Amino acid sequence: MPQLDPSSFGSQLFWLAICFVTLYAVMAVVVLPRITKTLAARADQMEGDLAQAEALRDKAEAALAAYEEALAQARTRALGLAQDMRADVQAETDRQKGELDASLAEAAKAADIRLEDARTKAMEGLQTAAQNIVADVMAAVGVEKADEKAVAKAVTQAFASTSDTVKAG
Amino acid sequence: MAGTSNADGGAGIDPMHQFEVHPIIELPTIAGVDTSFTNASLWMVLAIGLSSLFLIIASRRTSIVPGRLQLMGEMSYSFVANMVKENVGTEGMKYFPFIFSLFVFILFCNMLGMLPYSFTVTSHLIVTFALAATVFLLVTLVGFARHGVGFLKLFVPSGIPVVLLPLLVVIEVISYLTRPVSLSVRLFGNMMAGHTMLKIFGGFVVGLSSAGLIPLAIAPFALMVAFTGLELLIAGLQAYVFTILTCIYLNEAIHMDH
Repeated sequence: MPQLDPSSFGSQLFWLAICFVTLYAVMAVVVLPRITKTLAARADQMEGDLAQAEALRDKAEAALAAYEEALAQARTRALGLAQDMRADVQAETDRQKGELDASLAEAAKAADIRLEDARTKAMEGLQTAAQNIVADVMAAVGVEKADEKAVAKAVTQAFASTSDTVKAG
Repeated sequence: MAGTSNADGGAGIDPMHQFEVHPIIELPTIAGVDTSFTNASLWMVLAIGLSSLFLIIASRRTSIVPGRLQLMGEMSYSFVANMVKENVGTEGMKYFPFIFSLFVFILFCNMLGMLPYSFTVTSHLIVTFALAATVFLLVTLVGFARHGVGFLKLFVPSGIPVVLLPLLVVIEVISYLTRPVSLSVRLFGNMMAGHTMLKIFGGFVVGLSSAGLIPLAIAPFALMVAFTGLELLIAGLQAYVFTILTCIYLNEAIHMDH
């Protein structure tokens, strides 16, 4: 069995030491640091990319939230404005209506007063005319001296009752 | 696989001939050590040369998206790095270059040994023993450097009756000291046995066909083909086993958990 021949041991160990140390040096100095660096760079890049994607997503979500908030605000403002405007218009309408009602009421009152005056005057005119007619009629029938005061009283009485019926009518 | 074909050929093929070491370049003996460049030296140099070349080229490009060769380099790196991390932890990464070199060296020596007419460096006990002894020394040094005399507690199992303790300490010490032997013999035995068997089957094929019995040579030939596949598997597996056992021993020295 050649494996048990000690004459080859020296040379085998000598070359094994040289080869293994050389391999170790090449691996430790050249190959492994390079691969470590590449793998680390890749891990970093992936981590960075993921972080960037996360940040971008957060930004997009924030933008969406801001947009929705702005939309809600605008809607609220529009609603408020519409309500304000409606209230303004209502108030203006109410005011104008109030003014109109007041002026109309005033005009009606004035008209009533004028009407009352006119009626009073007419009644007075009518009463005077009636007294004159009564006096004339009495003179015509021959009552020489009519009691003016009695005539006026009678006419006034008659008018008062008529006037009541007129007013009631 | 096959060693140099014998001149006497045929049935006279010596299955052990492939393991013979013969000098290629005679070199002087320095300080009692024969430095002659032998066929064993040649295949060692080829193993480290090819593996270094492959890994240097594979790691030359450092692109984020790896090519095929770069990926192969990175996969072998990750394979050993994960083995170290899982079995030893992150403290073990200090010894990662050594363990990686060990894995690459054994794997390339085993695989190159599968080439016809090649020489299998790892089929020599002295080589595997030197590797195993290096591992043993490293592990022992790491253990004492980390735990001082406390490293000796490794030989004292806990939760054992005092009566049994002396016996168990002796057993523990013996099992610790035989580690380099078992580690080296496992690799050497696997390599030598596989190559010897292939050589014997090869001898049958050559012997039977040269005797004119070619139909009879088909069976050993088929077996040879099958065993070649098996030997390729064993070549990879033994490199893995050697490396993972190194990791396990190192973990014990660092963490002292039995």
